[in-house]
Amino acid sequence: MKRLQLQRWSSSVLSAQARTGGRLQHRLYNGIRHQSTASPAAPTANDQLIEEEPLAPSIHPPNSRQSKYQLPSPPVEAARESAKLAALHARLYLPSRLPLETLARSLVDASADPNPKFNNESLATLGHDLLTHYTSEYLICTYPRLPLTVIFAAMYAYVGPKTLAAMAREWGVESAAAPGGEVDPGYLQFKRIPPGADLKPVTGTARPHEDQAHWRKSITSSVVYDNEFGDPVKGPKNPSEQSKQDAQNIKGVTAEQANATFVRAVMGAIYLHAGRPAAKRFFEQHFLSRHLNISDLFNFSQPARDLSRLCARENFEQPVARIISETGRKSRHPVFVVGIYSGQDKLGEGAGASLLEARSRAAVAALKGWYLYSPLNVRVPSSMEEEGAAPWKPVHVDLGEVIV
Amino acid sequence: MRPSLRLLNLEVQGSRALYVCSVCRQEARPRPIVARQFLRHASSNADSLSERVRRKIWGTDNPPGLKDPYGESLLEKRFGKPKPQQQEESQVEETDELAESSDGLEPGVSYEPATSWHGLERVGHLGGWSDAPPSEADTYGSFGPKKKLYKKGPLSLAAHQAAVEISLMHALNKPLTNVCNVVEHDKSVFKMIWQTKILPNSTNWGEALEYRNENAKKSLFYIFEQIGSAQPETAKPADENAEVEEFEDFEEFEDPSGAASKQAFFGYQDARFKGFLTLPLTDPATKFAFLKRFSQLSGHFFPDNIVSQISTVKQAVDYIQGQLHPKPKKLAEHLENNKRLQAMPNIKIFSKRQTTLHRDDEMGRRKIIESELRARGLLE
Amino acid sequence: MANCLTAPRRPLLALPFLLPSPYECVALGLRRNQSSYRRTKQRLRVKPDASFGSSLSHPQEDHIIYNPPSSAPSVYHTPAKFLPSDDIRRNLRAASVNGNNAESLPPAVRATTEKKYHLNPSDIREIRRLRATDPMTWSRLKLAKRFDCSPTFIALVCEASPQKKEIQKRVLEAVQSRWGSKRRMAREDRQLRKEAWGRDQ
Repeated sequence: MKRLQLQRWSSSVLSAQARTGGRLQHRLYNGIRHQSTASPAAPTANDQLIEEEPLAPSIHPPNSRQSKYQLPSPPVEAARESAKLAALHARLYLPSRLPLETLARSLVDASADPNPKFNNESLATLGHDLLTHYTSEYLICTYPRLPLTVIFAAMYAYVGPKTLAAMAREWGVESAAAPGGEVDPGYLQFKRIPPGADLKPVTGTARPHEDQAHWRKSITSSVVYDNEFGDPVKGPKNPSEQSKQDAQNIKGVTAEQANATFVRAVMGAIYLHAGRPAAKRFFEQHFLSRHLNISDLFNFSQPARDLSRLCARENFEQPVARIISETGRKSRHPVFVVGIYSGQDKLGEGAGASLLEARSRAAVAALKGWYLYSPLNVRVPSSMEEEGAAPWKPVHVDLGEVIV
Repeated sequence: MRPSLRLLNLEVQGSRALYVCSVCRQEARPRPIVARQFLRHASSNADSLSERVRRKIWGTDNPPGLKDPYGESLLEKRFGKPKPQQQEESQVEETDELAESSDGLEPGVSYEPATSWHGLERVGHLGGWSDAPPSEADTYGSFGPKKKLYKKGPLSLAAHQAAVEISLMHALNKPLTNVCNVVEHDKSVFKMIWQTKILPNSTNWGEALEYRNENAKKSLFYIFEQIGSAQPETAKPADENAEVEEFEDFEEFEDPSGAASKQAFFGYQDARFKGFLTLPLTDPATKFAFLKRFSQLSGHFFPDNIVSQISTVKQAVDYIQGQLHPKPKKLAEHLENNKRLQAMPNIKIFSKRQTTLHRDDEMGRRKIIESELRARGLLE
Repeated sequence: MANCLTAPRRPLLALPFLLPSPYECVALGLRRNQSSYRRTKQRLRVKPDASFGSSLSHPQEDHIIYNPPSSAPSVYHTPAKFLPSDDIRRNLRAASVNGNNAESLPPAVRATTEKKYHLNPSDIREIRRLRATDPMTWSRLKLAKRFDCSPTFIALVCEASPQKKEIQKRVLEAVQSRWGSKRRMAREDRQLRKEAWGRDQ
């Protein structure tokens, strides 16, 4: 089992000050779809995905070597001749209903071929929606009490761009040096950002007062304004701005973005060609099978206070720290084992070199015990889409995280 | 009901509502009896049409005169094949005629063809030879078969037959190369040869054979005793044939179609016993006789250097196999002929060497390099 | 212990004392000679704990002994109190856990103080007035002692004036300026360690 690399901590459940890594992950993700806007590809193009495949050669007809250099991306018929593409198809154990041509298309980034009929943008949009949908429903149904910041972090760890890029690398997808018609379709093709260019943080978000950088951003507002990972995202675009944005898009993308877009596009392609069960199987085999220790994502700044608030909210007795055992109190390296009790029940246990540390760790353990509650026999809502599914039983819905 | 019959019915009823093409109509009709009379299979013992007409005219079963006064009919030539029995009869008659004619030409002198020019008054023709009609010696009969053997099965059949014949000659202590006088055996004889087993790993040719039974051994010995004497083709008594018929209780390759007799080795596909492959060819006389007979049967020629290299039967067979399927010289050609590799989509075989240039082109790096070189004036 | 029901993590063969004796001889006797076997067996002869199950009351019955190594319990193991009321594990655990009584609870780290709620709004006004007029004299600690409450409560009620904050900041800076590099690093390390507690590292 692959262990997910922990790319960042959830910012503390309670203190905004402890946001360590969030700043690093300002990503440019333009493909997000708001409910009010259309998908990046024209909506009609999205519907005609399958019908358009056989038509494509008529648009890219020339076959001579010189004319291949004129094309922005490899012609459709080259997909059948590429050994790399067939090998990738076999390596990923993709369904045979997914043709090589579509796999070749999912390897063409929008920065390589701006024509939406030949790039993977529409597939990636679909794949991204599927991935985030499946991941979020899995997380929320499995751990119904998780704080939102932890959910953001876990989503980022499961289907974030860094993870997807790492997956594409594990799949053995290599990138072409530059896109073009003569390139083997088995290479990932995208226009690279010129070296040394600085990645500017995302601007033009829908968030009001976004220029006030020092203002506190509440978690609740990031549900509304930010993307699935709690990162800022571009707001809905006007059609007039579309062309400007396209021109900016041509400038290039990072390898990480291109790889992530490719993995999303593969997911979308499987959904389109092989159907929902195959897409879900692919998701379970490639994404959910990765191990993520969610308990590592927590970061409490004042655990004792939070626990006290929690017990008050849930009408438990006030938590009391008790020394379960200790050794070497007067020595250089004492060890205390402290348990947090609420009435007769032990909520958590922690060991530390001082009573304060042990108490704090015990409180952290108790809080994690609360947040990491997982019901038995978890089912996700999308399991109802299958034929002959058992009647739906409502999942556990929690009050929410502790707010001090 | 078969469609053809259905069409026939339609026609009989006179309803011509449905169009029936002429071919179908022709197929559906019963064949005229006359046309069938000429189509005789080689296996059938019935007499030809002209023979039957002659018998009817003369009113006897043995009409006088030539058997076929009009020569062989076209249909006979194309479809029929002279029966061995008929041939035999005709040959017997011919020999009689020959004897009569020779007697008539030079009475009291027995003609004996010379083997060397010692004692001859002169050598050569008396002149005007072009006016003389072609004699029997003038007709060319090729040494080998008209068509070479290409498949593996017939090749091993030929090798087996040659080995058995040479072994028999060894056993009979007769000149080995005499077997080449008989280009093709009768079917029954061939079957007996086919059924004869050659013991594997035997070194002595004379004792390598294991016959099907004593009868087969006797008949084979009888037949091969006569080879090399006057008339090899006539050396098959009818009673032998009858005897052989009794043994044919299995592996009937009796093909009713006339084409079967034209096939090499009477439709047999492969040798039954593979023991002949290990027979040694160390004795020069045996090697020569075997290779001669083998090349006669198979139609392949052995060059001298190969002949000197060959030491077993297997090597001879392998040499012909190798000649028929030469190995490709380049690895790329070899791989391109591989059906399994061709079917694999994730394998690509290039006939030319792939250089860094190809790789740059494939990765899209080439055009960048070229544009940079052009910008610096290093490339036109 | 509340975690009696958790499945054993070690395979059964690794706990040879669980098995009936003839099988045990086959499982272990083949691999070990007698002396090492006896030593191993001796080490396993531990005092039966309450968590071992009801082996003493019903020695004949087959049962699972769960004797985990001494380590902190997993955080994925939700305490019984935190389980929702409709969770089936709540009843299962309530049935299995022997009733702990109050005497068996270990001693508290700190004596818990009962909250008194004795201050009225006039007292709070007084606290605020004192803090505003003379912040140097009336620090949080002094106010807490005077009104018999905790310094945290004082901090909740009122805030120091900006001047006082400025003075305190300068004092702190003056103190910190005398620190050497070792002390400064040690203090920073201590702060980092404290932050690591919250991440459970």
